[in-house]
Amino acid sequence: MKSSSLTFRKNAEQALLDTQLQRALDIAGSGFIDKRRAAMDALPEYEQLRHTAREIKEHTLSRLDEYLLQFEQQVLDNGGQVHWAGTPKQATDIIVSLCRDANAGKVTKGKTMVGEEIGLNEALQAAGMTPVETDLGEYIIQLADEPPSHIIAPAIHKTREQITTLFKQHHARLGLTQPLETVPAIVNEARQVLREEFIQAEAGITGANLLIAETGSTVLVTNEGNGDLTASLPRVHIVIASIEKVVPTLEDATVILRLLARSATGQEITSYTSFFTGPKRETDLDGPDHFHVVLVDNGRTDMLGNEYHSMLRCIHCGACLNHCPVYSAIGGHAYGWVYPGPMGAVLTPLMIGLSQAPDLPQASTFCGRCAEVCPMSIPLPDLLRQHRFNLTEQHGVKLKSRLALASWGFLAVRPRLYRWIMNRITCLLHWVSRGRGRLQKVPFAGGWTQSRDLPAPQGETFIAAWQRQQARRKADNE
Amino acid sequence: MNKARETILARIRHTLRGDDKTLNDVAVKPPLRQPSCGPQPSWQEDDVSRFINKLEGVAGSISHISSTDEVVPAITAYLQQHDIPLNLVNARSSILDGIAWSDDFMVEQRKATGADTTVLTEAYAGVAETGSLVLLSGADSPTSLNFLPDNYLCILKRENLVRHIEGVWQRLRQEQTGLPRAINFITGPSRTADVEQTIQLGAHGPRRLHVILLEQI
Repeated sequence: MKSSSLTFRKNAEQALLDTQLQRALDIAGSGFIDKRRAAMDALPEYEQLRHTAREIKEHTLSRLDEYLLQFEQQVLDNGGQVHWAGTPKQATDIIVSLCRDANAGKVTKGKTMVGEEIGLNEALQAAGMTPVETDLGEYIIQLADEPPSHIIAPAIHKTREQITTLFKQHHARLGLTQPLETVPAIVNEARQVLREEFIQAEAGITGANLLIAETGSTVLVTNEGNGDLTASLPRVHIVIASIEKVVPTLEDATVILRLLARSATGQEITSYTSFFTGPKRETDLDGPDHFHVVLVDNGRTDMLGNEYHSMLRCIHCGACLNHCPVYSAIGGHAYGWVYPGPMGAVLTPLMIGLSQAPDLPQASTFCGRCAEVCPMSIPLPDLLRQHRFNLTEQHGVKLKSRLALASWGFLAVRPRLYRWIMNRITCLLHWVSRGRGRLQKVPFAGGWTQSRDLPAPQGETFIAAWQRQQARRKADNE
Repeated sequence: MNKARETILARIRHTLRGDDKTLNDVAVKPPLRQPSCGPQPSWQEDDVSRFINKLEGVAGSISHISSTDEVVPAITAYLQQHDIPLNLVNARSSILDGIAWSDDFMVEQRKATGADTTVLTEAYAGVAETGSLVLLSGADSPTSLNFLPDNYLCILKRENLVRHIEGVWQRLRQEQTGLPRAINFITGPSRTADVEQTIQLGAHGPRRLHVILLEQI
C-alpha cells in the first residue's frame, strides 16, 4: 500500500475539517471503550491472564526459530504446505502463484492486516484475478477503494448514508436497486451479494490471529462467519500470517484468546473462533483440497531483540486505537498507512522507514491510556519516545528549538532572574489582553494560537500570589 | 522460497543466540513445552446455568429434553414458533441417525448448499465458560453445515459440556486421533457491527442459533 504518512500533519488537519468523518467518529463514540470496561470488570482474572499472556509471548519469541520450525513440520504432517516470505514482494509472488495454480479467477478474502501490509489486493488484480473482500467492513471500503481506517472496524469512518450510496452504485448491475435505509437492509443486501461470491470462488485467503506450533493449526477469530466460509468452500485455502503470531500450544492460544475479544469488542469470545489444521481429510464431505500457510517477515526479524522488541507481542486487538485521544479526533486514514493509532505510530516507521513517517511518533500526548489498556503490556509511549529519540539522533534539533531550550536552561539555573522575567511577561500579557482573559495572537506562539486562544495571565505569577497570601496570613496572625 | 526461509531463520538465530549455524544443525524435538493451563475465569453457578446464561447473552436460545424421543417435538415447536418450514439438512451421529422423523419433515443428510434454510448437527462439546458449541469437521459433520443455513439447530449432550475451553483440548488429547481439519467454536448466531457500530445478527452465517440440551437420565 502506498503511504501518505509523510504528510501526516496535513492529513490530520483535513481530517478535523471533514464533517462526514467527524460525524462517523461521533457515532462510534465511546462504544468500544465502554464494552471493554464492562468485560474487564466481569473478569477478576484479567491481570493474571495479562501477565501469563506476556510470558507466553516472550517465551515464544525467545525460541522463535524453533517454534516456527515445529509449526512448519506439523503443517506438513497434516498435509499442508508452508511458504516463507521475507519481503512484501516475495509474499505477493507466492500467493499470486498459488492462486494461478488453482486457476483462480475469483479469490474470496477474509480480513487480513498483513495482506494490507504487502498490498495483496493490488497484486492479485495486477495478475488478472478478482479479490473479493468478505468481511462487511472490508467489503464496504473495497467498494469505496479506500484502505481500512481501524484494524478491527475497517469502515468505522463511514456513515450509513455513505454505505447506502456505495451499495447503490455497485449493486445496481446485479439488479439490486431497492433503497436501503436501515442497518438490517444493508447487511442483508451484502449477505445476498457475497453469498454468491463465497460459492463461486476458486481460492480463499484468510489471515490468522494465532499459529499453534504443537499442532500446525491456524486460528481465526470472526463474528460474521465470513472467514470460515472463505476457508471452507473454495478448493484452496491460503493462510497469510506474520511470523510473530506463533504460540507453543493450544492452551497458550486459549490464554491469548481470552484477552483478544474482550480487549477488542468487549466480547468474551467472538461468534466464531476456528482452528484450521491442514486440507480436507480423505472422507470429509467438504473443505479445501489444498492448505497453504504463507509466513511473512516484513521487518519483524529486525525488531526481534532491539528496542522495539515488545511490539512483537501485539495481538492486533485495537484497544490502543479505541482509547487514543489523537485517533479519536482524526480517525485512521490520517496516519497514512496500514496501521493507525498508537500501535500504528510505532509500527509504521519500522516498516516503511522513520524518514517516511517522521510525524507519527509526534501524534501522541503521552497520556498513557494505550499502555494501560494493552492486554500484552506493550509500553507504547516508551516506544514512541524511542522513535522521537532516534529522529533527534538522526536529524538533530532545529536551531529555533535549540535556542529556546538553551535560553530556558540559562534561566532555569538562575531562579531570581527567572522569576523577575516571568513576572514581567505575566504583567505584559495581562496588560495586552486588556482584561478579556484570553489572547488571540502571541509573538513566537503563532502555531499554538492558530487554532485556539491562549488564556491570559491574571496579572501576577503563582509565586507572587503565594508570597502575597503568606504575608497577609502572617500579618493576620500577628 | 527456501532462500527466504533460511534468511529469516538465520536472522532470528543470529539475534537470539548470536550463532550462525546452518539450519540442519538445530534439530527441533517437540514438544518444546508441555501444555500448561493458564488462568481461567471462575463462576458461582453450576455449569449448565452458566452455559445457558452465556448462550442467551449472545442471542442464542435453548430447549431442554431428557430423551432422544423428544428431539422431533422440540424441533417442531421451535420451527413452528419462528414460522420456518420443516425442511432440514442434518449431520450424522448415533443420535442424529436414530431420530424417527415424522412425515411432516423433509430431511436430508449431506453437506450444505447456499439454498438450505435449516440445519441440525450434534456438537462434539459445549463450553460452560463461554456458552460455545464445539464442532469438529469430518465425514459425518461437514463444516458448511455450520455456516451456510439461516437457522442453526444443534444437539448437545449434557455429558459433553466441559467447564472451560481447555476441557476440549484435554478430551482431544485423550482421544489421540489428531486434530480434524476444522474445529469451530460457535458462540451465538453470526453478527456484525460494521455499519455504524450497530449490532446486526445474520451477517454471513446463521441468523438464529438454537441448542437442544439432552440430559440423559
